[in-house]
Amino acid sequence: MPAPRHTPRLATLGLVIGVTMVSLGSVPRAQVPSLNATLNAKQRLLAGEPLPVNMAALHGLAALRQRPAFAPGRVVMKLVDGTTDEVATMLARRAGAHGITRPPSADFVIVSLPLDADVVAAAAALAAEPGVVYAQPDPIAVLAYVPNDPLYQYQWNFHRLNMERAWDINHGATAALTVAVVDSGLAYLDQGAFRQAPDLVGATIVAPHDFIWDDETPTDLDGHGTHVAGTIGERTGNGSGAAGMAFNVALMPLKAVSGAWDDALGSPNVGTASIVAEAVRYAADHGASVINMSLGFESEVAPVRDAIVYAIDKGAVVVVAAGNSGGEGSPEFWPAAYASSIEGLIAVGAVDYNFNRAPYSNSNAYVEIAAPGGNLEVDADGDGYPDGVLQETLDPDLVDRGIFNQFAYIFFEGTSMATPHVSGLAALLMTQGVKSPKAVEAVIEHTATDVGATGRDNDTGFGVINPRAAIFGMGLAK
Amino acid sequence: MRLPIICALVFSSCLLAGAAAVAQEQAVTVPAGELQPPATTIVKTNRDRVLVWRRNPSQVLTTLPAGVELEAIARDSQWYQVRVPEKYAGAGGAVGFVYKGHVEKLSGPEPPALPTVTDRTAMTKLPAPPPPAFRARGYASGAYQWFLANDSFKAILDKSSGFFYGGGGQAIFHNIFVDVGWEQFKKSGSRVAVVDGEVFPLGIKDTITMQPFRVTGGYRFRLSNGNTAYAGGGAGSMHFKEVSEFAEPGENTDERFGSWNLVGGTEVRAMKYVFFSVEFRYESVPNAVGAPGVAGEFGEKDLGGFGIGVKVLVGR
Repeated sequence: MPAPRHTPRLATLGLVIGVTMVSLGSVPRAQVPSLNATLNAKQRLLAGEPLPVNMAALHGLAALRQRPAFAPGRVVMKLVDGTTDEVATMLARRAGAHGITRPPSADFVIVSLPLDADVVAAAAALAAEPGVVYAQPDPIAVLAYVPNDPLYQYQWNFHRLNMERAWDINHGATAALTVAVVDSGLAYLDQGAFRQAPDLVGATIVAPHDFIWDDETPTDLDGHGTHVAGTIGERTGNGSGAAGMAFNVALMPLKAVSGAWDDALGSPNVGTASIVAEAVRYAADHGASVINMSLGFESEVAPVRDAIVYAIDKGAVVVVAAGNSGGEGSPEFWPAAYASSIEGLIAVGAVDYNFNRAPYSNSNAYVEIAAPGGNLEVDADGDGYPDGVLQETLDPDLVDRGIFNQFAYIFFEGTSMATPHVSGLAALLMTQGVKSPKAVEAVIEHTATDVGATGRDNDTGFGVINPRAAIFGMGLAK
Repeated sequence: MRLPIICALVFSSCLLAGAAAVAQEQAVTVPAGELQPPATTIVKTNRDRVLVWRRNPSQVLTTLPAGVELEAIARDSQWYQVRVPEKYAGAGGAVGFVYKGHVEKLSGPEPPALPTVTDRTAMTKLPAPPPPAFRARGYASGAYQWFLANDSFKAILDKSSGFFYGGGGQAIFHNIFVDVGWEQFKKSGSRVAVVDGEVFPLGIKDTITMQPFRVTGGYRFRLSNGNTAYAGGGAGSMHFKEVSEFAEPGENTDERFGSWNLVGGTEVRAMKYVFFSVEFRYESVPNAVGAPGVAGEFGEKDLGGFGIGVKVLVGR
């Protein structure tokens, strides 16, 4: 088994540019293959064609990493019930837009503006119109992790959570319960340029959907989504790899966050609030009992908030990352900031090996619970590796070179990593018999191990999750 | 002076003559040799299997079918003393007693009342001996109890009541009794999560065992119908055990708590040395449970309850 690796945040990209591309189907560095006009780049990858990029595109990846806060040329607008598309179009044109589109699985419309339009001003103008419930720019999702390397003896997070005693009671939930992972996709598919992550072989996949490429194959071109899904449902007890919290659940991969390669390959959509909102509604409509969102936005996202409420009303627990700006004053992060006012929405902060708030984890009034997110700056467990959360995912060094069929066990840190621990626990609780999202949140908070200041605090909320206590419940006396 | 005397004598003679005449009119003229015997009372059995009893001691003399005619020679309250013919009583016949309701009178007057026998030498009825000052009995018991911590028990066991069974012993000194008893209740349910009073069973087996031990004292008093009523109170202990599947050390419960109780009931004699009693009781086991268990969620602390029980007692 390959040794776990530590991949420093963003350092990988500088190494990739100078490395000769591994042969996938042999694309010499200077050659730009002709593109099939009827297939997009992802479809061509699925068909087994070589990666259609050149050095210019690789250099462009660096620029794409410096992504704007809002998607250009887009405003998300919700109108009062009964407003016709004709009225919406008239309003949009008055704000200088070309027109509107109404995505499926959405209760809002997308107002299409010129790419160089001031979306903030346009949104403000539309919001002032009568009949408009809200209008806002469409923010681009930020993934809440800092990547790194993995293996089960190195999964201090599960040991510190006493997961083995919890698995004695509940052996990883069941495939009758579905956890939706709204993220960058999942390495679940053996097709063309893609391979299923070996430690996901045998996992139950239900209703996959790609909202970035508008198809049914949410392949991961980044690695974040696969890592997050691994904490929830990586196959366990299969004699290889690492473990997951609720390793028998069905996974619903929903790609709603675009990575650098999605941008480079020309995805029709970008991972914006409106896209994420669609994905959340889709998850609820397709039977997800838990929805994991290891992502967030740096501004309010009414479409996502409404979608979350919709999902909770349909019986799904929604778990979101609290944000990774704890070292920068903990600016509010959405939709986590809605958690205090929505029962069934759980905002998760990150702790390190010693159950102290991780340095990057936001400290806010909306943090409700904490879970291991890791701290790559220390090796508190003395295993020779930095204390990140270890799972299998795409080899990030090779992803940067456009290779999506090689895997490694990587330590990542972030509230992105903390969030799926809570999603996994929610899945275990729901299979135990706690069906209501509000009750799941209450049980998780009530049974948490209080750390830090006594009682609820901004660093860790009600404390660190205690999976065994949550699923063991109460007897008459104890 | 002679005239009044002569008139008195004549008047008296007339009276005497008249009386004699009346007496002659009243006298029945009975032909010579035909003196009438005194009237007899004849009764007839009105059902089959009529028992004729001998007294002192009481024993059945014979059993008569319906339609048998008997001479009733005396009466004693609800009974006729009758002569039983030889056919039914053997040579010489016999005299016995038959219940008035089992015969109908065919003829004759109501027979005379049986003279009170003031000097009976056979089987003198002795007064009932007084009960012994001290009595003891053992018993088996069963009771159905409703728990005071009803929300907590309902959450775990899906029922807020249950059946106890056990036994014990009683000592009675005159009208004072002391009862020492032990019972057991055992039932399995599930561990739960509780959120805002709503209970979610988690499917983890949880078994509750309760073993109350009670010492109760009180007073017994005779009822007009011959049964006995009693009331009392006492103290004891409750052994409470709760065992859960997957429990780790310290997560199960095995403790004893102090208790007190009140009881009241009634007892009837079924046979010479066998009694039945039905009783109502109230038991309190205060401050026995609470947080961190379900009992803490519902604010319930008392493991006692009220119930109705039955005892089968053997002894004096």
